[in-house]
Amino acid sequence: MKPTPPTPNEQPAPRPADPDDAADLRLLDVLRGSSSGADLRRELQAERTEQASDLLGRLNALDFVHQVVGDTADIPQRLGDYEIKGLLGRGGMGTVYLGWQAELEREVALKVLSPHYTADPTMRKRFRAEARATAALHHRHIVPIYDYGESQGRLYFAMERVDGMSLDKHIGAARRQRRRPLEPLEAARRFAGVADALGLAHRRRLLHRDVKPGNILVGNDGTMALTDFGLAKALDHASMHLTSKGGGFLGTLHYASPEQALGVELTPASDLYSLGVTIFEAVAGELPLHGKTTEAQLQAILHGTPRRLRECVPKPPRDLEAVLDKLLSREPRDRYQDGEELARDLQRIADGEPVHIRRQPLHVRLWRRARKNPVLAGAIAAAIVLLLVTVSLVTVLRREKGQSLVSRHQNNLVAIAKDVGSELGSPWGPPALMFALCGVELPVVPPSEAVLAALDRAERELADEQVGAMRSAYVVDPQPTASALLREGRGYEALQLYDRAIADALAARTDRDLAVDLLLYGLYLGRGTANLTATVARLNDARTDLALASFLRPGAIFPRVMTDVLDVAQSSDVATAAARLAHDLELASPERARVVGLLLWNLARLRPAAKCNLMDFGLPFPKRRLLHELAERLLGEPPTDLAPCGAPTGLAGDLAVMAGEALQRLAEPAVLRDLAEALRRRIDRSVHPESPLQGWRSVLQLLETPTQRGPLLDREGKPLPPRVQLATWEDLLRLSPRRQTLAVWLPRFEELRRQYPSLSGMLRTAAQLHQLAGTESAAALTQAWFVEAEGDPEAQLWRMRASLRRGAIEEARDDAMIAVQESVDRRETIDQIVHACQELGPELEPGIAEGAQVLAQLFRSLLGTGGGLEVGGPR
Amino acid sequence: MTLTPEVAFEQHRERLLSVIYLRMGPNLRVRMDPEDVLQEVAIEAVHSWQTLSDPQNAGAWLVTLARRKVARILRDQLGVAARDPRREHAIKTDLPMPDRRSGPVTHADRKDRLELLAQALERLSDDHREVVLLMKIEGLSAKEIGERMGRSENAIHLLLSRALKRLAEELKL
Repeated sequence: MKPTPPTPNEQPAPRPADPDDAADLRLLDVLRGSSSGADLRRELQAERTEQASDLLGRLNALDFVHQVVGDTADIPQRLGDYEIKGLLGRGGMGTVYLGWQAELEREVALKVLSPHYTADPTMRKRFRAEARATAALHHRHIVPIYDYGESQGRLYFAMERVDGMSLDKHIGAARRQRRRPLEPLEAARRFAGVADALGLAHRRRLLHRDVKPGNILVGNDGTMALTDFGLAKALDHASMHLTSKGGGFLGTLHYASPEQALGVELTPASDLYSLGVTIFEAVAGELPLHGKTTEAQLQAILHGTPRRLRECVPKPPRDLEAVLDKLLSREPRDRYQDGEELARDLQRIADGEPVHIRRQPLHVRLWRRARKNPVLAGAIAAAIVLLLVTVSLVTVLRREKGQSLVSRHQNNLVAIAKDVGSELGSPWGPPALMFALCGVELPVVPPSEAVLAALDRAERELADEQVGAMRSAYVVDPQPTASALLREGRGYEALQLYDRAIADALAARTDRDLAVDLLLYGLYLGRGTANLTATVARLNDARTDLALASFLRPGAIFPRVMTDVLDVAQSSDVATAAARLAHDLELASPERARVVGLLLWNLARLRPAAKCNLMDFGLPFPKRRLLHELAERLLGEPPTDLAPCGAPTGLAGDLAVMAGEALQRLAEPAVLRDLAEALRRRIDRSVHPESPLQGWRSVLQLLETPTQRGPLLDREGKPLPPRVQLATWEDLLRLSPRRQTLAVWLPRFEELRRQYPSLSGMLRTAAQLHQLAGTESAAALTQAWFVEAEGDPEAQLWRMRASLRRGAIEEARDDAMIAVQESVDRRETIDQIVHACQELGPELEPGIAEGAQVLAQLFRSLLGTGGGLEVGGPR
Repeated sequence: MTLTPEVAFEQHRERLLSVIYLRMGPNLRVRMDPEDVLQEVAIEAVHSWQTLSDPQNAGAWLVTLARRKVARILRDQLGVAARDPRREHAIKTDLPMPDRRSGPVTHADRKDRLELLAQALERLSDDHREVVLLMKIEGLSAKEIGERMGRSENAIHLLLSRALKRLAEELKL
């Protein structure tokens, strides 16, 4: 595809009339192809005139374009001993050609420094440095260098030719085929070699600085080899910034570690971070941190939280996820420090053995966040202060209780401090010690033998009274009241105040991460956990599962907490979390199993269409059945009423019944008033101000002023959060809806929908409300929801309703068939179909109504055969 | 050794992608991934491989396929695009503008380079852009381009030289 060679004796070139023309003429020969750009470049580099720099610019532009299209026009024929056979690729510094070394009869990969760098001493140096760096490393997973030289003004070195392709091509191909590039275990096995190779480089005090898929070659046998030490730097000089002279970024930003992005000192851990990103991408097909723009990417690296593997890959090996978490830690010291160590862990994962380092211990993560977060940091600081208090208490004890006893305790303290401190690492050591002293269980993840032993000892050996005193002491709180109480010796009350303080902090915050972390911190304090969980759950937090999971760790005050959680069990997140736990955990304790079972059972009862997304656990629709099953399995048999779960859930049940009645009797003001009053009392008595159940207050509003417009208001007359409003509408929908009330409420709901178009779940509610009210837009909304829901049998059923209303019997039948086929509990779905047909009957045109009847009969007859649609559907 | 469409395609992949990318223009690129278009071209190449008379011309033939493909898409999308509000604001990447010699341009990934080139070309005059595209991206000869643009071969070379000057300015090379 080269331009055709110039034909001589063409029209004469135009005469140069100005300096530009003169420059054009010098370039003309190159453009025609009758002289080489390299010659002109050399000439120009010597000149240093304005024209020369202009022309150099043009040559560079030409070069740039050539590089973009991968033009092979300027490939040399030979370089030194090597015959150039083709182009293998282009990198930042130069081009890689396929070479043939005739004497040894072997193919090599020739890396040639870009022509326009050849005159640049810095680039020449860097190029040589790469060759030297690579030559110093003999490793099965590093592409070896054979030779280095200069020929025809070009610098090059010859490397082993790896038959295969680079990992980025591999990943790209997988992405195009919409599959994941590597199986997790396979990835672990293959990357172990690369990690080991990096370990070797690091031992030779050499950083790679540009670890990325593009620099990892995958041979045809699957072996990976590290290449392109183009940015490699001796470790001793690694404080050099990774930004180039012009401030631009050297290396590929996507794989850069935070410290690399900042341009601060690099360590082996920086390379390992990049390798972590690479492994993540190779397994997930996506990057753990991704910004659409360069700036956004930079921000993501510096401030974002990397995704976890499970967000991209279903059921990844936990150990691999833990290893990646560790690799992608923001702080270099939290990562692996050594490629070999990583290699060993990866190999273990591949071999199915447990790894040494499971995951960042919770306290480390907490601590890290604490440093960014004054409130939490304050709390931890308080904890540390407490340690000092504790120590002085011991001193007091020494005076009061006599030398022998105290010295024994002191010995214990030292021993415990040593155990706990070394286990937990320095930052968390002191508070951990304190907890140990207080006899508070420390749910370390995973709880190590040493810590458990230390805690045991603490509990066994410290007398009760001392524990009590220390327990009080540790509640040294900045809050004056708590301190005052403490001074008065009312330690336990102070403790409760402390809990309250944290709970308030939680409630006041909108930062979910902070809330959860505070909660976890509360867990560490081992006190007030129930309040805290409830508060977080009240915030209807998407990460409530975290909180729940924490409580299921050994020894937490589980039943009490779960009861509190049930207070807000209307949150589908809680349902999800509970289901996840029930599904994942070995429920060793029957007590725990029972609580989870109750929770699930109530959810199934209370929220027939709980939106919890159980797909995460690979569980299919419909969720309700699943919840039932799980509950039944856990409970042995379903409970007869809701009472065991405590008042809150009962409240929701009560409310549902009462509101349902109220709705049915809208026309009877007296009854309505009574019911509303009862509802209000009930809500005031037992619903936390932050609870989603506050939405029920809106039910009251709707009942009292059915025609009032505008959003639903809270107690203080402020609009409720959109999600609570939506939840209210959904609740209303589930209570026996009536045509006339819907007609009144629909405009209000639509107002809300216009206000918050992005709120998910809105379409579903809208479609259902409209269908129930029989409006014109019902069909369109159902269709939209149907598209959004992607095959949810529930959407399918509502579509069937819409089809029936339109009079499209055939379509309705197809919809119904698909709904049955998609659903897990076919019997239930068929029930619903029959019910819908019958319910709609009176509203339909006579002919259509008849069709609906036939449809209902058809499906009812299927019920008799156990819903076995495989045998034959309605024809 | 007979040339298969797959091999030919791989050989010219980068050029084809460049042709598609640059011919699509920023507005269409928002709506459609050039890589997808490239895949379609590949499929088309396999299907109509027998219409290629001389394997020597495989590159030019593939480029023609790619150009036609983009032209077709542009034509088909025109009606839709007219109604699309997004048309008004194509994605603006915030890639830093390259600094002379040592700037990121020398280290940018190929895709980034393509975007840089696309941005720079957008700012050139129509003639300049066209001559770079035809000659350097699509690989037409000066003679062919001359015939197309109604100029002499030398004039085309001069035009290219001037275009390169402008391009160097835009790319800050």
